[in-house]
Amino acid sequence: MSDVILQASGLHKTYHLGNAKVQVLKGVSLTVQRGEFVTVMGASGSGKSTLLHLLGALDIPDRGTVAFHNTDLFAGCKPPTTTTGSTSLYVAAYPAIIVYKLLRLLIDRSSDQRDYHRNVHFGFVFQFYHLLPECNTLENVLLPAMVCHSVPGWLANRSRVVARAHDLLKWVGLEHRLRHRPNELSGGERQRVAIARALINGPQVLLADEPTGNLDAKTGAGILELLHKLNSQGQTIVMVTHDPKVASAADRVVTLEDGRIHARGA
Amino acid sequence: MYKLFLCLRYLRRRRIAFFAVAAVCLCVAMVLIVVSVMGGFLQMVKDRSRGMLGDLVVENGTLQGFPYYQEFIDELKLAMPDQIEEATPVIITYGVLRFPIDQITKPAQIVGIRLHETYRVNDFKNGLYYEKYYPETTTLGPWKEPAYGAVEGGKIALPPELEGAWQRWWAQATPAQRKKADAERRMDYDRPGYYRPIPHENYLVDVSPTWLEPELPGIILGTDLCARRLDTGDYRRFYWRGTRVSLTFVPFSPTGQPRTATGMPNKLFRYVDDARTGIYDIDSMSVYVDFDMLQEVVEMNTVVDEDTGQRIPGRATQIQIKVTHGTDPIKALDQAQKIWNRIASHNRAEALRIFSPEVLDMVEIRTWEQKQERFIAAVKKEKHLVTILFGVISVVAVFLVGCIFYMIVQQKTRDIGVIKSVGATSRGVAGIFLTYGAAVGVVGGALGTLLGTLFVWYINDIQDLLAWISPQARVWNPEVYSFDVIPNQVRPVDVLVIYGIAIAASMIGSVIAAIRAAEVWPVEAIRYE
Ligand SMILES: Nc1ncnc2c1ncn2[C@@H]1O[C@H](COP(=O)(O)OP(=O)(O)O)[C@@H](O)[C@H]1O
Ligand SMILES: [Mg+2]
Repeated sequence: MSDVILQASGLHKTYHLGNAKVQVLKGVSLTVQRGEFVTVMGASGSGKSTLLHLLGALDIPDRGTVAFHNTDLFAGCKPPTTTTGSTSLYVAAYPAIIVYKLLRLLIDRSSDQRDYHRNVHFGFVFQFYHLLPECNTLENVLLPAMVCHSVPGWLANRSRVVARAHDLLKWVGLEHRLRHRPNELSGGERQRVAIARALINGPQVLLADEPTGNLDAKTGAGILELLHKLNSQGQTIVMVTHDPKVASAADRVVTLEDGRIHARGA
Repeated sequence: MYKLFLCLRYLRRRRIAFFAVAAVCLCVAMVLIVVSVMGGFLQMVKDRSRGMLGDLVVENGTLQGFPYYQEFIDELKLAMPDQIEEATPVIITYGVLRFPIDQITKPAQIVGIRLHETYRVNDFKNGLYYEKYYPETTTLGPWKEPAYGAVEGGKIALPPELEGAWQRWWAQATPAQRKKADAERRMDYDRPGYYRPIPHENYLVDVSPTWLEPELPGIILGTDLCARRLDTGDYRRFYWRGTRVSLTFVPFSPTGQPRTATGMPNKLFRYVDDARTGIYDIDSMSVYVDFDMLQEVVEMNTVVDEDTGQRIPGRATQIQIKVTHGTDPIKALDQAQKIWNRIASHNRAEALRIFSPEVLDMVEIRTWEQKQERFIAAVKKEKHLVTILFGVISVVAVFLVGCIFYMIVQQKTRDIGVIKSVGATSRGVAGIFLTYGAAVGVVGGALGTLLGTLFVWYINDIQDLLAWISPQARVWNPEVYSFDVIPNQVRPVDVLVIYGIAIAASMIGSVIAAIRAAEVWPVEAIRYE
């Protein structure tokens, strides 16, 4: 028996560009089991990233739900309202707006649950690595751990967390690059740092958005190999890609087309 | 944890943050300098006012003065022995000062004091020059002119009385005082101050130091009347000790009639010492003579009319009172006022035969603070005004911090998205920038405090340096500001308040950027490279 970690059903997402509407997702449903390596295929612009962001609670759908271990990630969430520069109308009321926003910031806890899930249960790997340029390899990996600890908590757990970061970096083969900054690393190395960062808090699901999209074939293969090794150790992975060659290695491939999922076993 | 970490990291790695730090630093330094100088000025006004006057002052604001001062003082000391340390009458009048030796004349405020009582009432003694190095040689009584000559072995020396006083001072002086005195020693007789040589051709060989006739009453001159202040802060004295000085007086009758009919009295004195209160207006005008002598010369003394047997009581223009340590001047004032009222009403019948009722009724007892109230209040207002002005200018720094932070957030949108994607809350991200703002305030404030404090401490040296480069750059004119040095003390309270405001202001400056950062929608921020 295999238990379900993520269950997306009927996801809708529409972008508004001026008057034009771009319907990206038109009712996507997807189930991810524990230990699975799911690859989402789709042409560029088909909404793969959008879907992945919804699965990882980074974005909010217009309609539909994502259940993580049977709890709805978006319970009580409204889709983000797009404020289009109308604030300039209220120059006189600006101080009031600032105070209002500040208060809302302090009071509003509606997104805390999703922030917590992203921090602890999901790990993201992006196509463009997205490491912080001011921080070195080790610090980039430690970032999610720092997010979940208060200062005293950090001081108490520091050695344990740093040891784990060292282990992860060793595992991805970067133990000799701890003090390097991202701009001193190659693309493949950067992506390995990003993977270590995604894993530092021991996430239940690793979400990878075209992790090889920016790399040459050989380096990309190395990254894929890493992900497979991870999967074989029990890590649940959802990866999106537009490259059939990359997809061919996965054990389950689904295709995103015209805003819907077309399941196809590998 | 990440808030602290990232804000420290951004502080170190983002070069542009230094502009924010510099802006805060300069504003803090600026406000601290202004507050310190103005606050110091205010403090100096207070200290000097008190040092000049004593705790309580009795006056009626007239030139002819008021009677029964002695009765009041006696009664006061009798009734309040535990509260009153000392009380002394003063006559303040005006006249013309002339130095016969170089025929220079100057207007003078003539102050009649009882020297030893005055020593106890206020800080007058601390401002005396010769009294410092030759203790107990300054007197307002009759005095001859000291002249130096040769003693056995061909050594040049002052008269033995002065020499002895100097030895006594030297024996008890601290090393610092000795060092200062050493710098002021004269070449020929090896002692501080200016003295004349014996008027003899061969005084260096065979004539002993001595005192020259005639004996004349002593006078203490305001330092700026007889000396010029050097850039070093020392004074170059124009006259030697004992130089003859003449004063011309204007006597006033009890009804305030100037006694011009009898001619204006003129009298010779000997310059025994000079006094520096530190207030230029006073030191460039005041001369101090003996109270009883002055009272007689300006006809304010007690006289009994030989024909009618009518007694005209003597007058003083001021009484200075010092209360004992630990006595509240305000409470003492109340009691003293009652005593005065009793004396005034008791003698009213006699007084009204000679004085107008106003002369009596206008007599008022005030604390030194009340007397100087308007001046002190004016300085206070000026301090507040200038502080507010510079505070307003400092708002610029808040905007600068705001702009710089906004720029940083704008540049860092993608990173903010990344930080959020790993689970940071909007609140947390806003916290990074508020902490960042506070850090800029802490660092900028600390640097500003350091800069401001150093500037204030060395403000007089800085002025001297500027004046050395260009004389017009001397901004602190003692004739305008009364004090001859710029106040150079920094009060810890001021530092704390300004520092606190700087941190708060930096955080306020970072609020908009923080909100902006909180509003970053991570998906938008990380979609592209
Ligand atoms: N903020 C947005 N506003 C308007 N259109 C958007 C926005 N974000 C994405 N899109 C559009 O949605 C579609 C899907 O985007 P995405 O999920 O990134 O596709 P993929 O990752 O498969 O390339 C694209 O056509 C893109 O142009
Ligand atoms: Mg994409």
